[in-house]
Amino acid sequence: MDKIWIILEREYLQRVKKKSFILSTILTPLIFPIFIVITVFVLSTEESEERIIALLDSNNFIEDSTKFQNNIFLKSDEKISDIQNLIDDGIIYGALEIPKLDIYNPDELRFYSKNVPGGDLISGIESLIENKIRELKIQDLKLNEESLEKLRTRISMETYSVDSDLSSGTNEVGVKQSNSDVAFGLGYFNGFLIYMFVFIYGSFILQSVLDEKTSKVVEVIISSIKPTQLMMGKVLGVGAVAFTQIFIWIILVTSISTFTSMYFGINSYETTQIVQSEEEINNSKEVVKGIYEMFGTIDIKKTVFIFLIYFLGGFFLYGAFFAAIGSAVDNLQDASQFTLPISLPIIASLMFMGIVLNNPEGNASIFLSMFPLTSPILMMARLAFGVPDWHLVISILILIISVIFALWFAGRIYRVGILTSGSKITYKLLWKWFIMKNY
Amino acid sequence: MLSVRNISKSYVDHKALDDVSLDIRKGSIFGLLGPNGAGKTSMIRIINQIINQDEGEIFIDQKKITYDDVRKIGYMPEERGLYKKMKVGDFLLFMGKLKGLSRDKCIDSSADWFENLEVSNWWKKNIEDLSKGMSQKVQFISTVIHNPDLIILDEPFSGFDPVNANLVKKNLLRLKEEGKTIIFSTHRLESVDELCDHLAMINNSKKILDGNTDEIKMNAKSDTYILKHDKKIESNDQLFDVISQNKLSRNVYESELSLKKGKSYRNMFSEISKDIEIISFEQKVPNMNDIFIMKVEEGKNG
Repeated sequence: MDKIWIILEREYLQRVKKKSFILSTILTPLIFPIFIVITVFVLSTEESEERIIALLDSNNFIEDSTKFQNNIFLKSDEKISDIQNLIDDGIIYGALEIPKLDIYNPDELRFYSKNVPGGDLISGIESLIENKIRELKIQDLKLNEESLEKLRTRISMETYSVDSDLSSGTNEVGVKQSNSDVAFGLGYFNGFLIYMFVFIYGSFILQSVLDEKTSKVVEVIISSIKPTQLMMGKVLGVGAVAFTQIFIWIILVTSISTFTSMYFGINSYETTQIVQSEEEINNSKEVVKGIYEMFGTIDIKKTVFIFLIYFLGGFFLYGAFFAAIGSAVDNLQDASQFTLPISLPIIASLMFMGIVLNNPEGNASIFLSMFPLTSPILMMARLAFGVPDWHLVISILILIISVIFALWFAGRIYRVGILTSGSKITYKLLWKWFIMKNY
Repeated sequence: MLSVRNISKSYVDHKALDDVSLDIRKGSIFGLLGPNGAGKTSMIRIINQIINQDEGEIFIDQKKITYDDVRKIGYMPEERGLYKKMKVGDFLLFMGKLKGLSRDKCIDSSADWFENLEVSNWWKKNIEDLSKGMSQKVQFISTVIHNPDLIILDEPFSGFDPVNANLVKKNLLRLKEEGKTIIFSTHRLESVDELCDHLAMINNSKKILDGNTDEIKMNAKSDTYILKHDKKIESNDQLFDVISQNKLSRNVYESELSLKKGKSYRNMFSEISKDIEIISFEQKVPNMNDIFIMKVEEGKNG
């Protein structure tokens, strides 16, 4: 055990001291806030030069010189063909043609421009005209705006999950508020995080094993440590690096978001006072409060705990395969033909995520969250929706047994692979190595 | 010290060792000789339990070898390398710790070896900045850093220039004086005469020769003599045959004579010197290469 520790320590320190590790660990959590800041900055400084849109409106739906987004509508009596020439020469941006309309059957509305206009502009103009037609219809049908408003009903259903754990000593079953949007987002986030780590750190293991083989340092080391111990030390060492990275990310993200919400929270409150009415401020406060409450419905401790189990399980399962591949091949090019079949279940997990998130209790979802090659990602996707404990227990047991099997399998390939170079590696040969009794 | 009994080993497609036994005495240098692919590396890997034998057993001090014994061996494989991205000191610490050494012992021992191998202190140097000879020295230090009683070196001199090879030879002899047992393998048969006390030759997975170096040489001595003389020598039906004769200068010939079975070289000498002046006279001693070829031929004929 102490020897596995020595291998682990070297592997860990070598990787953690690397500049690339330090940079990616610090910069990755910053990428999203930086991206947001840049987008906001670009949007706010965007040149809003007014563009002219010629208005050929036979119904007087839109008034002359109406400003809309960063456009201005100017009434025109020119012929459409002349206006088209103006557009083509770039003198005006576009033209809106509204023929005489039957308000109950409006069609033949046209917008002309040189380039394809943005979706915002088109849908904006559409709703502008739709509102105008609505007003006309209300007049025409002699309706009353007030009673129309009364007809409108908005409901928002609150979802509760029923759980006997929540009943505090009484016979009653407890309920807590749940939120499927949050569950969806959280499930996707957790699953994706595991996917990313398994992939990136799996290939680190492959690279590391391969480096030892090609630099021929491996035989020097296995004269004082068993090959399986060396493999375990490497897998654990790389795993510890992954853990460190995710730990730092959690700390960075938490502190950045706390800091920014403190800073921007006060700032936005001051600015919104000018623009927004008191009611709107209260509304936005409600929304923020709602989001906090929604996250409050998720058992954070349990989620983190289960996440760590599947994180480790998935990492060891795939890490073992990557280690075996790294030991067998002589260079990275040869490795790709073996990494592809290993990567397929990981990629497939990501594709199945939609199925699981939309129907977390379907048979396919249950199977995929039990099957060891997909369970690390897909059980995490299911978890936020609430999973029966016995599903979790079975899934984790299957995963643990599979990890043990995978490490044993990889160890048998590894012991032969690291000392063999120059032979063409086929699945048949790998099988021969696996069943070889004495090596 | 080390006793290898009837080891056989087969790989997927060929037999590497066929019933090979070796005895290595404490405090001696043992040479394992043979051409490339003969099975030397397989034998050494089996002793170090890097691979397992199909048949046979290995004893160390009359007891079956255990994994703890193996850990104490100072083993330098033929396929050797260093972590390029590490510092020399970190690597030596890593290797020392794997051998069960404390940090302080590693540092002390490395400092001693830096001195023995006549290098300045490379502790802080990056391994990727070392020359080939320098990294070979670091490799050697990492092999003996834990002061092992048994040192096994697979092709230790490949990669060393002659000066460094001599330095290593000198250190191996010094280690022998200290009572260490050293086993090394080489395919360069001619280079080992002066170094090893005992040797074994392996060819095509079988041991073809085994014994004390001096005895092997004495036994292999042929009845062939090289003479320098002033006039031509003719073959003598009773005593000797002339194998070859070259004229070196106007009055000097060099001849290779083969003495007939059961005849004394004194008779041949007096017979020739009757009318020919002998300038020099020496018995031809074969080198290891000749002995190896002789043994291989014998094996074919037998």
